[in-house]
Amino acid sequence: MEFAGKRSGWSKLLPYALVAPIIAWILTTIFWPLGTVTRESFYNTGFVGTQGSFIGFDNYKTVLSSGDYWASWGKSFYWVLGNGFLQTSLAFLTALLLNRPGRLISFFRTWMIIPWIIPTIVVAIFWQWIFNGSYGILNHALVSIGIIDKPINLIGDTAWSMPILIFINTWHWFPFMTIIVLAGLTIIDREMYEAADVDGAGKWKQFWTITFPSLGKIMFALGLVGTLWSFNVFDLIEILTSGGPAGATTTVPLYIYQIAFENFHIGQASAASIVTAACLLIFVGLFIKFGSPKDE
Amino acid sequence: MSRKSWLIAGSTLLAAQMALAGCSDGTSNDKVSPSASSAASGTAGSGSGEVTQITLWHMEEPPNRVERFNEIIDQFNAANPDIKVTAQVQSWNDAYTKFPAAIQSGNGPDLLFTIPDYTTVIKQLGVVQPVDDIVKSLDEKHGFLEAAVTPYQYDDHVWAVPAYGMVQVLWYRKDLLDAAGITPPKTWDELAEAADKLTTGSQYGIALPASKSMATDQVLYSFLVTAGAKNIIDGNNLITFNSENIVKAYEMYAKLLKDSPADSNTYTWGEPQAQFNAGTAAMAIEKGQYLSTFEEESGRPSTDLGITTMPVADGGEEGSIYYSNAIMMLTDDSAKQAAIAKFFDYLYDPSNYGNFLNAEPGLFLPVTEDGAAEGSSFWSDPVIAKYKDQVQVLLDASKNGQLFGFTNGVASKIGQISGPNYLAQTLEQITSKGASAAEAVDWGQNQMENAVK
Repeated sequence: MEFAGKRSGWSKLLPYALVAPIIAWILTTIFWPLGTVTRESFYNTGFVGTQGSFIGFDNYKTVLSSGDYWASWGKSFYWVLGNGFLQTSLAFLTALLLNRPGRLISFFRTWMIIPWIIPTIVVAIFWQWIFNGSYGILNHALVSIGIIDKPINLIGDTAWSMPILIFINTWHWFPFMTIIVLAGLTIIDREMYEAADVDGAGKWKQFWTITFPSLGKIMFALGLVGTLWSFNVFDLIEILTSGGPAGATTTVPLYIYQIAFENFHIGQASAASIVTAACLLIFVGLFIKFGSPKDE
Repeated sequence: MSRKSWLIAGSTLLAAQMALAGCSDGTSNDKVSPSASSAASGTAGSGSGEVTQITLWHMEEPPNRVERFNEIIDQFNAANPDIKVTAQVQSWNDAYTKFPAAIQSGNGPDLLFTIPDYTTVIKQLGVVQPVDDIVKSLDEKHGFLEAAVTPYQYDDHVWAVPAYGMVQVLWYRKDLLDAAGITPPKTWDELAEAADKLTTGSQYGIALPASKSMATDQVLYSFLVTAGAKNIIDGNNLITFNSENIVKAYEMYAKLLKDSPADSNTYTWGEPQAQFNAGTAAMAIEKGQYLSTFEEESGRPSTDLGITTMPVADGGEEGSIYYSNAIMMLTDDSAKQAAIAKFFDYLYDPSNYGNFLNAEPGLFLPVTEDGAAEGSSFWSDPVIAKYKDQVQVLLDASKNGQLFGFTNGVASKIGQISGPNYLAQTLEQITSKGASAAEAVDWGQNQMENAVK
């Protein structure tokens, strides 16, 4: 275009100047730490702040041959799948219930988000008071009505600790998913349901043929981001169990933290981070390739 | 670039960032020299007539301790207008993760509270200054207890000034033992029998921590000492954990856990004390913090708070875990060092030292001879005065105190054992994974050997 060809030098630079701050921010906050971790993964650095020596791929060999590292992946799978299933089911159920008019519905739509806005530390303490093996309300209630005769130790039990953590995390996060699903439901054309009614389709069939497919793009985004968020949850697990008992809730982020700051192997933890990031990148690639909704 | 490509690129970046964010410590390996650290921390005292600023970090977070420390420091500052010591409260939770970065970037303190194994870790940063002269001078005036200084004495220097000692004993509810007709146990057999007999209805014989924590490490170590197995690592970092006596100690602990509340494997410091004060548990093994809260929390008279030294196994030895908390000097500025020496002189004066210790009466024990002497300010605190007999037991127990990693030379890699709580993790092998004590101890030996490689 003639106009574009006459732009001054400053006009040509302006777009670059405008994006420069965000590029600098990304370089500083993403690529610099990423570079530091990558570098550390080739050093035998122990305690934070000390100088290690270059050891090539030894940290990677240690991590890849570590039974504890792969065991933590098992815990992470359990954690992610458990959260994914429970949160999705609960979010759909709640969103469908709230996707209708009514004064009470409006009230619940507003207050339903409370669990999500509570800080994680409060959530952890709150549920600890309920599940605590000595003074927990749940134990007190169960003993009072005679279902059990002695308090049960759910958080400290190797079999129960992970399901309990998944339950608490689901309670904390399902309102967020509910809001997203609800937003998706409100934009589905009502006429499609009316047409389905005329054709004699029941509610169940309407859900699977209209509702669910219409939410495909939202579910794709939630599936991708939600999985990554869920995988990287650290605070709730650290506060409630610190990965215990006996490693029963040591997911990958917990494992990396323990190796870095309890076992004092920063180099090894860095290598574990790189390997983990690579695995997540593969997951992202596969999810996008096979999970992305097809444009019709 | 298509929308799909942007999505892929964005998601890739997000995945990488999320996975890596947790590990980066945000520091490079380039060291900042101690002098740079000092300069950055705000020395204003190199010239005459200026106020020398000293920053002190301690990790004693309870408000009563913070208040008392501040009182002592304010009194010192008032008496020394040319020096200003400023205390900043930190958390032990940040000690291993954030302090090193702060120190390396020049934002660390001039004085930092420590415990023996933490000193071996921080010393690796190359900023800890020897305090031989200060300790020698204080020792001549006040007489340091040997057990308090030894864990900080290696590599030809003393690396921290001992501040107060802590020792474990067996606490018991006299009212509950009397009601059951039980005398305070002196041996392991008596302890097991008492715990068993006192476990009845909703009451437990004893409350023990069994989580992966320092609290569990410490109580376990008291059992190791009394089993006659205090040496688990020597000065050359050789692990000697897998022994018959240690297996015996773990068997005993696992046995006692049957008389401890069901959720003991989630307990750290506070829970056993809460159970003890509530009367739900009749015995507990801990340090001296039980004195100050007993009457208020239990609603029982002070005479119901029983204390005895750690019961001993057949063929074992008397003792329990004991360690001194200390203060490291991180500045190499000579003006600051002179001011710090003056501060220590003030702190250890018997008329001040007791007030400092009684920031937490009974938990913080004197590490100097004149600090514990009759008539010193230590004994004037109302809690100490009320529980004088109990405090005397604590002081006597200190004489047989031991600390793992410092019993057979100083193990420079003890941090690698205490950091991951391998003593407690060994117990978890029994309590959560169903291993026998022998299998668990064998597992512990392997873990510790790998840790110090």
